[in-house]
Amino acid sequence: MQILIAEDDELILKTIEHKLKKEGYKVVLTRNGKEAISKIENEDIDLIITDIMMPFASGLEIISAVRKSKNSETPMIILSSLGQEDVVVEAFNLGANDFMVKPFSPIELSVRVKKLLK
Amino acid sequence: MKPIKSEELFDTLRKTIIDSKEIQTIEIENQEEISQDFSKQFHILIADDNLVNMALNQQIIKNIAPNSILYTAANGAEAVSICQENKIDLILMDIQMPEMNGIEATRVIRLLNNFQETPIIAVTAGNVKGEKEKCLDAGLNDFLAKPIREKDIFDVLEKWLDFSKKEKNETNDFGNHLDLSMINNYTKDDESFRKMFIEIIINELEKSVQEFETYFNKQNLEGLNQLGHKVKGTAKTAGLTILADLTEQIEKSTSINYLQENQLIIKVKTEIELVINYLKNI
Repeated sequence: MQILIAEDDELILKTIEHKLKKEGYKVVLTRNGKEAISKIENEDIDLIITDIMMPFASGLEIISAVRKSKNSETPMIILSSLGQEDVVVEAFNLGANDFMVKPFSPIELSVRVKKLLK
Repeated sequence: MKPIKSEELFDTLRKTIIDSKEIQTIEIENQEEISQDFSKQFHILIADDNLVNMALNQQIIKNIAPNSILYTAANGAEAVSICQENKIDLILMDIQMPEMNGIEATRVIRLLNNFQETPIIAVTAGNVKGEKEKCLDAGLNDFLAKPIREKDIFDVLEKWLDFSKKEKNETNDFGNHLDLSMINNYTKDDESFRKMFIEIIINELEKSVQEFETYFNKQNLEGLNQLGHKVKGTAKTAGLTILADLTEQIEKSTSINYLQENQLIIKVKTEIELVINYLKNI
């Protein structure tokens, strides 16, 4: 199983990478929206975890792009910050499957990942 | 100078040696008292559907640790919701309970923030085959077989309560500069990752000091706004509250003048130096 993470905060990116690798997943790290979209097009990705506010393309743009592409079924988890409730609603409308608010528990994230990949 | 008689000298020396020995033993005794100080405020949850057992256990714990704060749950589901809302130092978990039993409750509690290490003690009837294995598998740490005596609870509390915890928190109090619970949240079960996590914070912050200076010298407001936003994110993730606040001010600054008047770049640099110093010493 290969999971793509899109996140411009290096700390969060590395934390998720560490947790998921420990659980036996392969991970693809991207640090902005544009890079994420191109990796999703060109690699086999089973699940996407994406931040909302990122340079070049936002998490919302990533969701739209994925849902319109050949990988339209890929499950997606959104990482939001407190006070971004409106954006979370929009993310769900665009087709996100789940979300977590920072600061989140890495253990909880891995449980949610497991559930979506079942 | 007064001449000293040999007996006198001997007496004085002997007395000194005895005194210092006495002091030493007193010190050692004190240390032991401090390391297992039951007068501290522990937060203890008792989950039991039997009201008599509950009352007894409450009384026993109050006798042993008089300043402890006790939480009670009549079933597993209640235990879970108490854990979601409170910081708990130890849980006495009856295994056979309605709604959600002790094993199921423990499984859920182990998934909560900050509950990976919390000692959870199973209270069992002691005669159900395979129960011990199930308990261990669910993440319970120890067992008490009914009927429970005061001595059993004392032994369990002595073994599992973290008597050093409060002191540690006091010496590690960095106020709003550094909230360690954030780092612990992201790294709790993993010491080597914790080291790496802290190194990443330090690297990111050191890098950003250079970038702040470069943008500021070039009077690049947009660059400063974006960098402020980025460092704010890192600061929030790492529990650096004051730095998060300062960088948010930079993110929202509408002129270089405003930055200068409020000395924001200097304040951020000073704060970063301070927190890096803290981070290197935890």
